[in-house]
Amino acid sequence: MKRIMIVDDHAMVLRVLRLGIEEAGYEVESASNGSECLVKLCNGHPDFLVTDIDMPRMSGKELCMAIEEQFPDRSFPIVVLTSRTELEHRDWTASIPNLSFMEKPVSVRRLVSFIGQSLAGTTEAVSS
Amino acid sequence: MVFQYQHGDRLADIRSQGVSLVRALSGVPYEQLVPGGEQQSVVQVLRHRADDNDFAYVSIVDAQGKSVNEMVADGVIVPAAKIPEEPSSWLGENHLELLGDQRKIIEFHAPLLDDSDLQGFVRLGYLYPIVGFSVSQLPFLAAVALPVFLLVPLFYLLLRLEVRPVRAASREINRLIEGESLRRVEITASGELGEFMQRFNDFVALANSRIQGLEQDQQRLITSAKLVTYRKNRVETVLETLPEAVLILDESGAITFANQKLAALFGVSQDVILAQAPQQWCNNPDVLALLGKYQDGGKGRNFTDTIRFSLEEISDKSIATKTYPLFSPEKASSAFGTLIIFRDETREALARQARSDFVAHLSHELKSPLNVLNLYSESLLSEAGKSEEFRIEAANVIADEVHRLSSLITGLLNMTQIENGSLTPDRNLVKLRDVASAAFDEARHSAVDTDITFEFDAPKEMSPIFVDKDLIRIAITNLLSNAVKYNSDGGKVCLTIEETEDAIQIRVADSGIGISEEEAVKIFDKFYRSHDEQVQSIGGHGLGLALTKQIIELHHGSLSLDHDRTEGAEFIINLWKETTAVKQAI
Repeated sequence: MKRIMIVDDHAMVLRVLRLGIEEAGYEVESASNGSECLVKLCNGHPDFLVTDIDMPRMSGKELCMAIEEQFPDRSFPIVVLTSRTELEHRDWTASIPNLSFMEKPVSVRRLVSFIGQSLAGTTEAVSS
Repeated sequence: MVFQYQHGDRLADIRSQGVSLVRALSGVPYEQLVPGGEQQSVVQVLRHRADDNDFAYVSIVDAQGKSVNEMVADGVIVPAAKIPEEPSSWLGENHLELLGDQRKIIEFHAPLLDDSDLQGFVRLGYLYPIVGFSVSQLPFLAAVALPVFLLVPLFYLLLRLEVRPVRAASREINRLIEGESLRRVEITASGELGEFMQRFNDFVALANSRIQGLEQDQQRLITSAKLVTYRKNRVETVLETLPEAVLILDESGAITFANQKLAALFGVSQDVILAQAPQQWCNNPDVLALLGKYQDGGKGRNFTDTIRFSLEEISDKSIATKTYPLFSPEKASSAFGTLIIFRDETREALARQARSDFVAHLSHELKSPLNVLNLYSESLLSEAGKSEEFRIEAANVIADEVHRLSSLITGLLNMTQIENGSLTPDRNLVKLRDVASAAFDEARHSAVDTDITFEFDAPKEMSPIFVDKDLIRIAITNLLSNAVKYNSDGGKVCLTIEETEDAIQIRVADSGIGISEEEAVKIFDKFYRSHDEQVQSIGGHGLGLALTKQIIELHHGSLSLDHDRTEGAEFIINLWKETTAVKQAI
């Protein structure tokens, strides 16, 4: 079973995403901020990572950059959930491969579909 | 001089006559000069000489000097003879004096010889001619003097007549010189002088007309110069008064004017800008490139050029330039220079940035609850929605998020209304403890998942205060919300109320990340969000403190930050009690 890591500081969001993704047949692991996620990554990589941006302690941006630095040979795709639509808020992603954005409000159905395509290797970035 | 001349003339006559006569008598035989008996001698023949005014005497003396015959003019006594001893001086003349009246005598003498024997001498005396006026000369002198006496006054009168107008003209000209004025000289004169004066007056008239013309020209020039100076000053004053920095280039791109604001912008003096190349006072490549376009005839110029730059070395200002061609009023088709305006857009840039940040944050703040709503509504339709427990949870979450959205929108509206002046506080006498207590409970409830501890300290009995309780609650809630948001693990939030004689003080303190001195001056600005990464990661829209400050100021109170704290932050609200507020308002 494919493992999906979800990172979000809102417990409610985490809970609903977990329900929807598990319903689609994935195993879900969660973290409430970036640093917690990094710790969990040391124990093993998921098949896909979904992260929020605005989080205490370590934001989604910091998490992505830390992953890029600590695990340069990672193979799992990352999707960042964001409410920021301006391009300048996405500049930092230019140097990080295999990373996509998904704008809020997020649809669980769309997210699950994107994860499925991505894992099957047929996905295109939802938004860039 | 005339008499001297006559005297010399006469003396020469006497000498010539005397010499020739004495020689003639010397040749006459002695016997004929001294005849015996009644025979008339040659000497007597010479008697008529006595008529001659100058003739004194003729005397024949023997070898011993004794007079043997003589003929004497009236009143003359023959002086004693001086017989010359040497034969060489026998012939000669002597100058003697008459006895008695001491008149001078010129005497010619010659020897009387008989076969070389000296028999005696002949002496011939003449009176020395008198120098001066003599009666005999009177007719001559009168003839000479009369015309002189008659002509001199005549000439004098004529001269006076001729010289008078010249002197008058001279006086008048002197007066002109002394008076430093040039006017017509009124002299009545005829002839050459009349013509001269006429020409002189014509010249004066011409000179006057020329001077008048020159004076008018000079006056026009002075007026024109004053006008030009005035216009120049006016234009420069206008350019100096403009709020923007101004640079004016001529056709060749050289700088001809820079106002004080431009000099201040680049941190140099106006003289430096005018005198030195742009590279000397500006090191911003964009500005140098812009100025370069207008040099050498301005082939690369483009009057629509607008550049935006920051002079970080000098200030953190954001500057935008705008260029305008300066058209000649006479020839509108050609530009004779360029006006470059450097506009300080720092405020606009900050406002733009702040507005952009605000919209981004606001969109985030709006999208976060929408995201939750969307996720739950979707999940309700899925398998999870079949669970009763999940439906109850979803209903609660949806209600909470709707409330969050609603309060955000209310906050925005309140702020807009306060800014527009359209919000009138609904003031009533309020027990502040109750309002603060409600806000405190709400904050504590919202942070139930955290390990933050809460403290509330307020006197049980307090004077009621005349405020809009809803607005004051928003203000306290905002401060408490920040105190929770920016707190640290295991932190503390304290809400304290104290009453003094004049005011009620509300203090909200936390033990969180605190506020740097640099940011302390900006936190009350609308839309301001700290650039601190830690703060950035915490949701916020930069509206809370600005709205709180506006609400407190609407109540004539004050909101400040306690700068003395070393840990966390403490905000202090002062609300004046009714009586004091009324007194202050009056």
